[in-house]
Amino acid sequence: MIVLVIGGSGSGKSEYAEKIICSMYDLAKINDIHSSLFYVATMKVYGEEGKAKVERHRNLRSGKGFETIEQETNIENAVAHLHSLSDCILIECMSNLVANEMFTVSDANDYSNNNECKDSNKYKSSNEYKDSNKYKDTNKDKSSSEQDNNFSVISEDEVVAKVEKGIDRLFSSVQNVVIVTNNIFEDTQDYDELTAAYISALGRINSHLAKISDEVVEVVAGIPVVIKGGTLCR
Amino acid sequence: MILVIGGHSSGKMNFVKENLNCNFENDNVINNVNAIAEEMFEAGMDYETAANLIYGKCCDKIVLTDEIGNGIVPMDASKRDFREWMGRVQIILAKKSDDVYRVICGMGQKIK
Repeated sequence: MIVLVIGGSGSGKSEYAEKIICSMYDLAKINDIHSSLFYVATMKVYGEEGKAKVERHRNLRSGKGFETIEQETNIENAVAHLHSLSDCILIECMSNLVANEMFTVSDANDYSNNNECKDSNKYKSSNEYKDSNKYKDTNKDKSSSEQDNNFSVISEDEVVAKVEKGIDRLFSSVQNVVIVTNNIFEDTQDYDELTAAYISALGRINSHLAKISDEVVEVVAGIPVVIKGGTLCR
Repeated sequence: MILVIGGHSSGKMNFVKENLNCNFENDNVINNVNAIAEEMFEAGMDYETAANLIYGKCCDKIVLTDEIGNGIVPMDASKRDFREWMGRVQIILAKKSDDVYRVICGMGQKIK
C-alpha cells in the first residue's frame, strides 16, 4: 500500500501521515508479518529554526518505534537501510527532497567541500542548465550568484527524472509507504524563474506520486480529505 | 461553531450566504478570523491560547478563515512563523467545531 499525504504549512499533515504508517505497521504485526518501521527524513537542517522543526517532529514520533534514515538527496539509497519488503516507511517530505536535489549551496568557509561540489555531476548538470534555452534569461544572474554564494542548480527536467527514478526504485523494494508532500501551489505565481522551476518540478513529481499511490489524502486543518482510494484513509 | 476554511477569494462568504442559512447583518458570522488571530500572534500569544480565546468568543458563530499555508514558504521569518502558527490555530478550531466546510471555487465541501 502506497499512500500520498498532501497539505500546506501547519495543516497537520505530518501527524496524520504518522497515524497512517503506524496503522500499517500495526496491521503487519497483527498478521504476524515481520516488519520494521522507518522514518526517512529529507530535510537539511539549517539554523535554529530548522533544529526546532526537527525537535518538534521528533517529539511527535517519540515512543512510536521509528528508526530514522537521513536521506537528504538520492532517495533510492534509503533501500540499503531496509530489512525486508514488508517494512513500513514514512518519507517526509518531497518538498525538501526536491529542493535539495535542485539547489546546492555549499558552505563558503568549506573550500574542500566547495571543490568537491565543482567536480561533482551536479556541477556538470548545472552547466547543462546554463546551456538550456529555457533558462537563458536567468543565466547571468545565476552564474554570478554561483560565484558569490557557491550556489548551483540543476534543471527542472533533470530533477523530475532523478527523483521519479529514485522513488520508483525505492517503491520496488518496500511494500508499505506513506509519503508526505507539500501543497505550495496556491499562492501568486509572481516568482523568479528558479522558484517557478522548483514549483513546476514538485508539481510534476506530486502528480507522478499520486498516479502510483493507492490512496491520496489532502489534510485540511487536521482533517483528512480523501482524493483517491479510501480503504485505509477515511 | 461552524468553521469555513478556504483560500483567499475562494468564495467562502457567498457559500455561507447561500448555503448556511444565516443573516450576514447579524453578529453570527465572523468574516475574517485571521485578522483577529494575527493581532494575537503579534502580541506574542501561543497558538493554543489564541485558539481557545477565539473559540470562547465565537463558539456559537460561523467563522470564516483563510487558508494561507498552501504556497511557497515566505522569506520573511515572521510571516513564515505566522503561517505555521495560524495553521495550528485552525487545526484546534476545526477540532472544536461541530461542522467544518472547505470551500474551493465557491463550492463548499463538508469535511466534518
